[in-house]
Amino acid sequence: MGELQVEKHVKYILAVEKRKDNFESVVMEHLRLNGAYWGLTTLDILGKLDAVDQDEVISWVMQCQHEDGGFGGNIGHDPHMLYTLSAIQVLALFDKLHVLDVDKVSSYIAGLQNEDGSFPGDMWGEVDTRFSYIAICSLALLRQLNKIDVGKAVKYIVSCKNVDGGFGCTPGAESHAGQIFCCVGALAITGSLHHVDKDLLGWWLCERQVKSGGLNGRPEKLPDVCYSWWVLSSLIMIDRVHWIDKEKLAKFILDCQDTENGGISDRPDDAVDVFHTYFGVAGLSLLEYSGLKPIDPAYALPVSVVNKVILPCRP
Amino acid sequence: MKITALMVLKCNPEGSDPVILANASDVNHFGYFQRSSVKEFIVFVGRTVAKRNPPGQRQSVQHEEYKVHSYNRNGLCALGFMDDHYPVRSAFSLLNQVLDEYLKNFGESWKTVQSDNAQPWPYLNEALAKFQDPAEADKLFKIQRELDETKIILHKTIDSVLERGEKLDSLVEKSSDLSAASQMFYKQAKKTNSCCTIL
Amino acid sequence: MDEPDPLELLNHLEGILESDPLIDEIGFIHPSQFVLLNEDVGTPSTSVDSVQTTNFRTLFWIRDHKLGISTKVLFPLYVAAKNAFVEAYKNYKLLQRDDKHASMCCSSSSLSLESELMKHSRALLILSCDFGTAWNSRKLVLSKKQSLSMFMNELIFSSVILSHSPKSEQAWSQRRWVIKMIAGNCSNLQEIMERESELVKKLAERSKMNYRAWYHRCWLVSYMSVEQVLQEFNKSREWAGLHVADNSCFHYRERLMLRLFEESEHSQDQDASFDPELHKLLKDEFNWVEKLIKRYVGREALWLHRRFLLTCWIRYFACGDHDRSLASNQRNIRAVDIDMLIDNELELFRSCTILPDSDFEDYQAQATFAATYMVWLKRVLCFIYFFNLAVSFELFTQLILYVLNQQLAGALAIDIQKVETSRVKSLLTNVCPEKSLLWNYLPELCM
Repeated sequence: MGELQVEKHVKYILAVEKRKDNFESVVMEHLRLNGAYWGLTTLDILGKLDAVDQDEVISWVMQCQHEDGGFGGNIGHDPHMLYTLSAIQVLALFDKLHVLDVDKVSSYIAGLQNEDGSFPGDMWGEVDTRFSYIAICSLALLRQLNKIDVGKAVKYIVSCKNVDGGFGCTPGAESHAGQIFCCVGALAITGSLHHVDKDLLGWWLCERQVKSGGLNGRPEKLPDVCYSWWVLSSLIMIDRVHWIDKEKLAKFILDCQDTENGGISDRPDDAVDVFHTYFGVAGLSLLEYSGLKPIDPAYALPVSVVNKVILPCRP
Repeated sequence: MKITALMVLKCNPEGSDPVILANASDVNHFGYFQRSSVKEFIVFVGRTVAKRNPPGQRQSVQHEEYKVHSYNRNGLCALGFMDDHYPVRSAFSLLNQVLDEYLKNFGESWKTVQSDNAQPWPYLNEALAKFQDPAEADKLFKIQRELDETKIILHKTIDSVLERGEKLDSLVEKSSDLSAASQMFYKQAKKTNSCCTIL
Repeated sequence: MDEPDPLELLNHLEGILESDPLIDEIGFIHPSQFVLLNEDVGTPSTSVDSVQTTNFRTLFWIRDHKLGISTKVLFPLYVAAKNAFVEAYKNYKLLQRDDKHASMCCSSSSLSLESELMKHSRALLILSCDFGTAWNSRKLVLSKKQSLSMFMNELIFSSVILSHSPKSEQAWSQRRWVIKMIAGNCSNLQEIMERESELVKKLAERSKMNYRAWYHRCWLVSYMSVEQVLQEFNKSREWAGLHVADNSCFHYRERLMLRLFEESEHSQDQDASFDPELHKLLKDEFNWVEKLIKRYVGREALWLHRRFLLTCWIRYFACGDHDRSLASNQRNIRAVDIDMLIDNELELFRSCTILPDSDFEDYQAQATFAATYMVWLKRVLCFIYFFNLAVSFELFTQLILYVLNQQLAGALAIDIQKVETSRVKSLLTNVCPEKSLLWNYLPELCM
């Protein structure tokens, strides 16, 4: 089995950040804040966060904020929940949450909650359990969960539970490992995991492991490194990770590395990108690969960061 | 369930590139601008796989969500490009049938063919349409006994079909079957999908 | 050839989009592909010449409403489109703010700003389909105009984007937004639903197991009439039968079935739980999927669909205590019914766990799915058995909970015994050793 190419991945992430001179990199600019979060978290897990200019990142992040408190994916882009969470997470990585007007950001998020407890992604209103997770995770990091009706938010998430134990984006929608992460994560943060049928969901999640050791996100799909994060973190949260073959999964992730230029791809021999580099490294961290900082499966941030942010307020 | 292409090739015992005797493909489920590249790829992969299929053997090669099934009967080789879910047994029944039909139509004339044939063979096009439903191919199976006798060699990637040291990537770069546009198409297909960025 | 001016490129692209509103597909193509495309159709395209200089003939290709853009110009074109869009959006928002104060809309300047914004956002989205801010700007204009024809055009535009990027979440979401906007005041909603459903079917052929596409189709169900639901159910069967690995398609059928059950429950005069038509529909689906399971060896999606059907069956047709008007002989019929069902499933299990000496199909996978299906069956039976008095049978959250007929309990106890845990477990370890960690726990936990 190959080793994790730490130095090469660091170099790759730093280089991706700088590229703005070709079509492939600029078409991703609308979600740059999102990309920044994945890239920076990866660097932190690898112990290399000091390789970036903190002040530069923070000043750019703050320029993505709108008057209503929400963040856009880049400067000049409309605000959206997705990027608001990314902004909070990036600031948390640098232990700089205090630069935020906490009241303003949390009001933006809380203001989006619907009567039934669900959340849309922005003012245009499409509801999705992903946004429930984002609201709960963001507000927990800001210690402002009291601003929303948590009971109703949980109730809505539970209404998206399926017969197979999984969750979809709205009630009755097909189970999907990414959506399951969001729902289980939100329930974990709010201390509501008793709503999950752990054996049944654990079973479904374990069935995602295919012969190569990789995980897929739905039945009959090809394996993809991103599910090393979505599935694995969910399994850990419901305490069923000992049901899968961890060694084979680690091997699958390591096989997806570009050992020459760094970065990790969805499957062996495919082209790498910053997202899958995160998913791979974070997955290995969950598998307790040596030399990596442990990552928190619910907050998707290094445990050390979560401890700094959350612990002080715990009774 | 989808058959994208059926092909008949002549394999040369001395190991030079196989010659295409008949080729039928249905690429309508691909984007308009991708179709020409897909067709080129079918030819390229077909030749690559057939060249490495020893006489008398059946093999199935996986490539992403596709499977290429091939059967070389005494140098005359039939290939099918199916998706992963087309039953293997049905696929080989069909290939058997294609070879039988070919011999019935053209006799031994294929042995002297030296260059690719671009003329359509109507039977192959009809077969491509008819056997999209594997149930049709299963009807053939009932009358074919020979199928059970040879084992199939399964390959998980095209790379594993190739000789040691050879890589699909470098074959793609060298191939005269592939235009610059198709090479680009091949590289783009390796790009991971951004739908993983659901958060 | 000199590098073309980015602004001219943008003008040219926007000119093409303006001149052919019927464009139904776009693609980014390699510069060398132009020659090939022109060969394919005979003479080179001429319509573009009239718009701009012949230089553009090697950068843009349009014929039969298919638009190809050379990968060579994507970068400058994107930069120009983005700048133009940002400028137009800024101006539009400024004007909107001013309009609010002056309470005057529809001024000529506002009209031209609107069309600028629509034009540039369209060009930008063709190049970058998930540029959310551009989609938002269009929603802003559309909600202000409230013009049915503009809404319909937006549906067309979104499908052009989907032709190129079938997984674009934003393009799918835009469709739902438009449909919500017109649902109240549109006479041909049913027709639109039909077209939407067709679109998903077409794209699903191109982009397999596309979660976003199938989510959209499921979302449509709540807007459909019962007749349409039934029609969709019948129509999607053939497709599903040829795409047996497509879990999303089976999930769609499940969604349609649930809607039919719901409707039946809501209709007042009927004994919903014993609607003979639904009973037949479920039975047909059962038989059909069994046929598929036997033909297509080792297909996970089929087994999962069967789990759903089984749960449905027990849920709807194996209970009756809630309805005391039901004649006792009818209740007996159901007890017999479920008994037969279990025997049938055990027979299926037996036949699918025989491992023939053959390489052709993945019989190991088939046996694994058959065995885990048994685990599921036993789990469902146990749930009903142990909770039969106050069923917390939390299977379908949206539907009313049923209390199970006491009469069935005895039969169930016998049925549960028929599924031998140890046999299932050793079988699983044998046919699927790579998941032995799971098999260590699973059968006991669920039984």
